[in-house]
Amino acid sequence: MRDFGSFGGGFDLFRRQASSGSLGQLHPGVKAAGLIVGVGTISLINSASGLLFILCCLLVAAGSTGLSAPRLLRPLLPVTPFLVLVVLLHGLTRSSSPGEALLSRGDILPMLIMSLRIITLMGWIGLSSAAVTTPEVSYGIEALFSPLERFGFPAGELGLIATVTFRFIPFLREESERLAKAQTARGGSLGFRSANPFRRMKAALPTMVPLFIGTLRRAEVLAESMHLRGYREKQSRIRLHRYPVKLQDLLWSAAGAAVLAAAVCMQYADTDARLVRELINSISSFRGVAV
Amino acid sequence: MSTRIRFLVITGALGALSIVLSLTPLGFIPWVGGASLTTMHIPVIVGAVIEGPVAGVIIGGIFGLFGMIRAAIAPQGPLDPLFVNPLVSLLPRLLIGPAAWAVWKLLKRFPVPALILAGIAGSLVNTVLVLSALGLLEALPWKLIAGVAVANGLPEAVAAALITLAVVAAWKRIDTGKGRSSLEDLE
Repeated sequence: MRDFGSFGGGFDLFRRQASSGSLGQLHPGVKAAGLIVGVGTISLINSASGLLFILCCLLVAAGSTGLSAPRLLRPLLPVTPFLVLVVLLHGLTRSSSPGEALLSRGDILPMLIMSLRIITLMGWIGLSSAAVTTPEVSYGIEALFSPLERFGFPAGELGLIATVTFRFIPFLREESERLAKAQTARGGSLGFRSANPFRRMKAALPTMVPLFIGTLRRAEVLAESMHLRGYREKQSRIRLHRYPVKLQDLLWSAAGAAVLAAAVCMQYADTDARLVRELINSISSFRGVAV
Repeated sequence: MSTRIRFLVITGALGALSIVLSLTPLGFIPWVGGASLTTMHIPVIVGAVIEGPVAGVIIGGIFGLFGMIRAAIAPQGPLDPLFVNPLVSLLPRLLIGPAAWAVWKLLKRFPVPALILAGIAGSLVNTVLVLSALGLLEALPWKLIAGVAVANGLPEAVAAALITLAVVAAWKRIDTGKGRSSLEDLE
């Protein structure tokens, strides 16, 4: 049986590693909005220079909040070979007309945009998740959608769902481990060793079904106890922690919006062509030195 | 008991289950040639069948968002760098639930085939939409995508159908009190 504890080890979700910096002390709503607006903009933008600009600003921001740039981009290390492969494949499959060379100058920009987009997204998501704690996530969701509440949007309920999700993760991890160990203790297998793939699929059932039913039953108990304790979704709840909006929040959101807006503007300026030209020049001059 | 509270809690719990499945070996059934079948989308299908399409969208959102964050901060597989894009990891996952719910709603009169088809529909929506998002972004060539869709997508759909049927049938029986185990009367 594979060890459950080590699976996905070294992976901290929302532990706020950048707590000492100013980014960690921002309003949770600002962090949630930053994640959504940033990821949306980066994934839709189509300009290499704009993405490069966002990445540089991201690294500066990470440095100023105590999360060093190498640490932010460390997740990139194990997947670099795959990233190179995927980007090359992207370039190679673009120009498929028979008379054309496999990789031409026209392929440089799309390949550059693709790799920069992945790296920038990784950095942006990594920085956002390093600046949040789990209670802040649910409050952030609630704060982000609260303007929609007057149109009947259940912002508070979405926040509650996030809270329940985080509360259930440790319990479910324990439960899945318990079920798998009970299964092996009875002489059953999780099917990892079986040679027959269909048997492996079937072997998953005796652990999956109790896990699902246990989750649903536990959820039912929680719902019942919330009902008995007088939970009402319409009334506003009181909170242990309050998060006032500070000057810092406004400054950081203005800075973030400015960076993203500048990157969007670069898409319409002629900066990409210049970037590619510079790149080709530097490569050819490098080749000249080498020769 | 208010069904609203039940809805909220079951949605959150199944969202947590899809996260936990991606953290443990249970989320990956080893398949031929080193590839593995994911089971992380099954909570979305089960949630949509039990609690309706909105629950499906929310659980799918949790699944997609978590997949995106995991791909960014702890990538493991070769395709993980591509999953940091929300157009690949988040958007297709939102539609798993509604598709499974629609099939279930249409065929509700025949629960067993309805559950099998709902599992297959939800799973296929996941496979087809994620892979076509990768194709539309020109991240992978279409031939490779078709190969993955057949080699991984079809067995994944079978696994999803099996588990959805087993789970929802067991749960609905508990819920309605019909066809319980005879041992329960002894208690």
